[in-house]
Amino acid sequence: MDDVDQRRSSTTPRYAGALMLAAVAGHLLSQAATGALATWQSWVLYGIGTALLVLSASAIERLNQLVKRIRLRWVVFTAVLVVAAGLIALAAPPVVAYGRVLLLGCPQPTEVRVLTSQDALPAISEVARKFEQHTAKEHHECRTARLHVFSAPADRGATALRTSWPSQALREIGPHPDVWLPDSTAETAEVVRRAGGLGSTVRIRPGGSAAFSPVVLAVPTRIAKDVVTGSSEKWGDLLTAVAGKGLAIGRPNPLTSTDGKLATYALYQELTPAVVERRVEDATRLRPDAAMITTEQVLLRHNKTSCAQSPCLTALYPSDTYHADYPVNLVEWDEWDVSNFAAREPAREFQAWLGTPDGMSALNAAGLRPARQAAGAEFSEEHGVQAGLALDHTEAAPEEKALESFQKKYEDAKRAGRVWLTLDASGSMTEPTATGEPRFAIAVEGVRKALSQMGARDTYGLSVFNNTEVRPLVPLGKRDEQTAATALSTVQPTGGTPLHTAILDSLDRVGANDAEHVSAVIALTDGEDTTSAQTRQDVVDAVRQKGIRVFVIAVGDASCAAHGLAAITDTSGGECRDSTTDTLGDDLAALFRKVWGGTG
Amino acid sequence: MRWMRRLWAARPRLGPPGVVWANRSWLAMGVAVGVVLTILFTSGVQPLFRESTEWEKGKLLVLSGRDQSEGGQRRALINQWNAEHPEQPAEIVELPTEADGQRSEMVARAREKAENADVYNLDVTWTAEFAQSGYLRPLSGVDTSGFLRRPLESCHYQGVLWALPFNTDAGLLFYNKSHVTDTKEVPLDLDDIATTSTRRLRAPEGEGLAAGYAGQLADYEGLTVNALELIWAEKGDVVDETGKVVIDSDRTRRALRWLADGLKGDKPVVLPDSRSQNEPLSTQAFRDGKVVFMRNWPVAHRTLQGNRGESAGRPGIDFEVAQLPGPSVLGGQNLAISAKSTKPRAAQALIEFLTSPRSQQLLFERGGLAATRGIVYQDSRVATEHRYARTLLKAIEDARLRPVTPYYSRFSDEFRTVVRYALDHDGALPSNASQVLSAALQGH
Repeated sequence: MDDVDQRRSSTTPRYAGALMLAAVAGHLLSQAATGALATWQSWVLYGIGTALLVLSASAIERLNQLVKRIRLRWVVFTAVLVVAAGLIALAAPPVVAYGRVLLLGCPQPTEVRVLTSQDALPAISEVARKFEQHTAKEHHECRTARLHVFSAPADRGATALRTSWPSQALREIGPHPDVWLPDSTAETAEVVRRAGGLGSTVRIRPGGSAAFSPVVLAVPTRIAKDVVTGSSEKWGDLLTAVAGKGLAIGRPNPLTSTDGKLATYALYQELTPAVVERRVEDATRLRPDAAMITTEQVLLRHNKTSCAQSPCLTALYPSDTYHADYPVNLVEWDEWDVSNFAAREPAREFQAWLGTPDGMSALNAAGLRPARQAAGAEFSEEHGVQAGLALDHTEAAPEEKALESFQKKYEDAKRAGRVWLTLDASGSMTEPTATGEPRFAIAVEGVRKALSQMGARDTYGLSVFNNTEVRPLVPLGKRDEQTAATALSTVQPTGGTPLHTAILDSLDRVGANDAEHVSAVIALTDGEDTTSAQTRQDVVDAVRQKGIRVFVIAVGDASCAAHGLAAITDTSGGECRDSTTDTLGDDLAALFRKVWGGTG
Repeated sequence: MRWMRRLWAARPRLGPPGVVWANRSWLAMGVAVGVVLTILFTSGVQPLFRESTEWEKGKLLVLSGRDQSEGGQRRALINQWNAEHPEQPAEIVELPTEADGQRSEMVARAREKAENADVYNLDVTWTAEFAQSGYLRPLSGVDTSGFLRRPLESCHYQGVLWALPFNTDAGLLFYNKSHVTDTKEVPLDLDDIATTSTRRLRAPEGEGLAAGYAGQLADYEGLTVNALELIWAEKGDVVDETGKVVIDSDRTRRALRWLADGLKGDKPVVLPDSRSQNEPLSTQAFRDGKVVFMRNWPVAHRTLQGNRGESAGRPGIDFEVAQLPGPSVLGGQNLAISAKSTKPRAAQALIEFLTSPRSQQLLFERGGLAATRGIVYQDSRVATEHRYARTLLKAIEDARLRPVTPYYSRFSDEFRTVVRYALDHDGALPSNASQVLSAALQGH
């Protein structure tokens, strides 16, 4: 019996060792075949692992002999096994992780996509960088998450989420978000309701507000002293006082932006909507010589980063103002190919971190006000803002029902849009696109589509330009889209691009803004100016003097930045869009919606 | 054991013992059985272990940024593939135009278990990250002769071929011919740029000039690219071939000081606005005659030429391109197969089609995307229609890769911080520059 035992104890481990070696060899081959062992470091790791495995097999033999001398060996054996297992379970993961970092470098961080508003983008990006650094603290200086922060213009992010992020959103806005950090909780509620519907592949888990920023009236610092009286003033009083100084007052679109909506709601409580609408004009960015409705954080960051002598602008805090409250919503996707399941955990961590002292300090440093932390050193007169606030409203926004009826009031009160559209009919517009149709045909189709969404009171006129002349085709007036299409069907593109002459001509034809109308010029071109007598500076001067918004759509060879077209549109709070023949129709439609005061 | 012995005893006996091997029919039967077994094995069992060479059927998903080529030539090529291979149709999933957003969506999709991609169109700087993370399948049996050396190099990581170069890019030096009239004046190093710029700025005809040189120094990948090229032009370096950080050298400091000093003064050598400019904005500054020299990608050539053909003889800006004083950073995109793809052979065929000489010629000629194959540049039509083709080819051949690391974006972030510090401190490096960059190369 003894003999047999002896043999068994000596051959079993050998068999086990051989078996393991065979298994390792097989595994090694398969790994090498799939290319998993591409680096020398991975070979080293593989070698160490194999050696351990084989050694452990032969170690069993020694152990077996040792064990025989012990009394109650099974009890001792079990105890040792349990202790060893416990030790390994506790120590192995950190040891292995550290070894991995030493040999192979950090594991790649998990990708988390954060969608926010254009206004909040710089602040949230700054906060996100700090969160990434925070994740490195307990992981051998390796960041475990990478936050890709991006923004969508106006309410396009909300719309895209409601419709489960269609391919157009993927192309034009950005990747599928894992976190949605809009300006206002009011914005979230509707999306959450709509996104939960049948056939929707997105689930939004609404989260609490991370911080807030009051809606303020930004005015040039020299004006601020004259306007403020010291006692608490409401939106209506401040608007009247600033308008009395002859200052233009810019407002973001009240249908699609939180600050524009909240300020306009408050203004309508004090003043007649029609009066308000005649005093404000559409604007999307701060200007040194005009007042603007915006959030405090936008103004603070503007003063800190892009201002020669500080502060450029001062915030006026109406006592009846509301605030943007930046809820941190988690977004979960149910689609088989884009769920990004791995991001859910770090997304939750980010959400939780924003509520910790570190997170709140980061928010504070970025210009936002966490509810449970006093305003930081950034909030000072030097940067045009106040640390202490005395506001009437504790809630961020009025009730949803109240906002709905406000929307109706705005639609009735807003001024009608008056648009002059001028189209490039130069030789290059005959160039074929990917579909084979010439650029001009695609432009005409885009115009027809865009004009179909005209409001009841809106008007338009149309001209084309080539060689050195501008030809009016449709006079300014109330007409349907077919008129334009018919008139354009007779045009044969040829010759040069007198873009400057065309814009100047359009400015004359459309006329300045008045009590009933807001004017705008939309120019579509596929190249830079080649044949005008006037320079770009002439156009910039005329636009500034007339105060009419100019929009340019650049297709084909034209480029907003490279050809200085943005210099023209920026003068008046307009916009230049680089478009392609694929998206021309959508871009034109979006611009028309914008100038006609709808949801851009 | 006993049952085996019994079985053996009960075996059929066909003939008397000892005569068995002499029995011919017995031999014939053995041969027949052997032949049948061999045929069965080769046609039935062996193929199970041999890889098929046939293309798998089904849709091929290509994840790619938006088609930026002129007239959508990439899509035209895909349409052509689909017409020729109806059983393996390709579909492009268009991702955001902005590179960071593209990468983000690709990485997130690559991490999914679902088979949601067959081919990735990767920026040259992402190959290492995707290969190391196991998102790619190595290519085998590909004929890589004919590709330009540098673009092909960007498809390798750790000695393995992971992708094929789709299109490439290299920076060029644009110069205004009304200020640089003699080709001898085309600068060969940074000092030449400074000298010529200063001379032109002081000359009476230099009145309209705001500065001598414009680059992309805003805080994005453009700054990394521009700073690397300037450092290389001074024969300095940031990361050497072995992957060691060597930024702390006199030559590197000199390049950064050249840039920092150049930005200063009344009539500066380097356009101060460059610090907030990207490629289109530099093009505008050059086009408006504000500078003598501009560093930009070849696509600016197209923008500057634009619709000048219809200007009825009115002069536009007269310019020419040359190679940068030092090597350029290599740009471009590579096509790789997703490790999850169940159609790797069809995917590889698609990649080989898109990078074939004919496709490359179409993309360059009609789409304006720089080709990755040398033969395209030898075409006479290309040489006449794209005047800069010869210069571009040389620039691509001399170009260098940005540091190859799976943590490239971390490295680039940290490198830009170092460069911004240097620009604000007369070209001095932050004291911990080397440590920070070394750590970033490891992903810290």
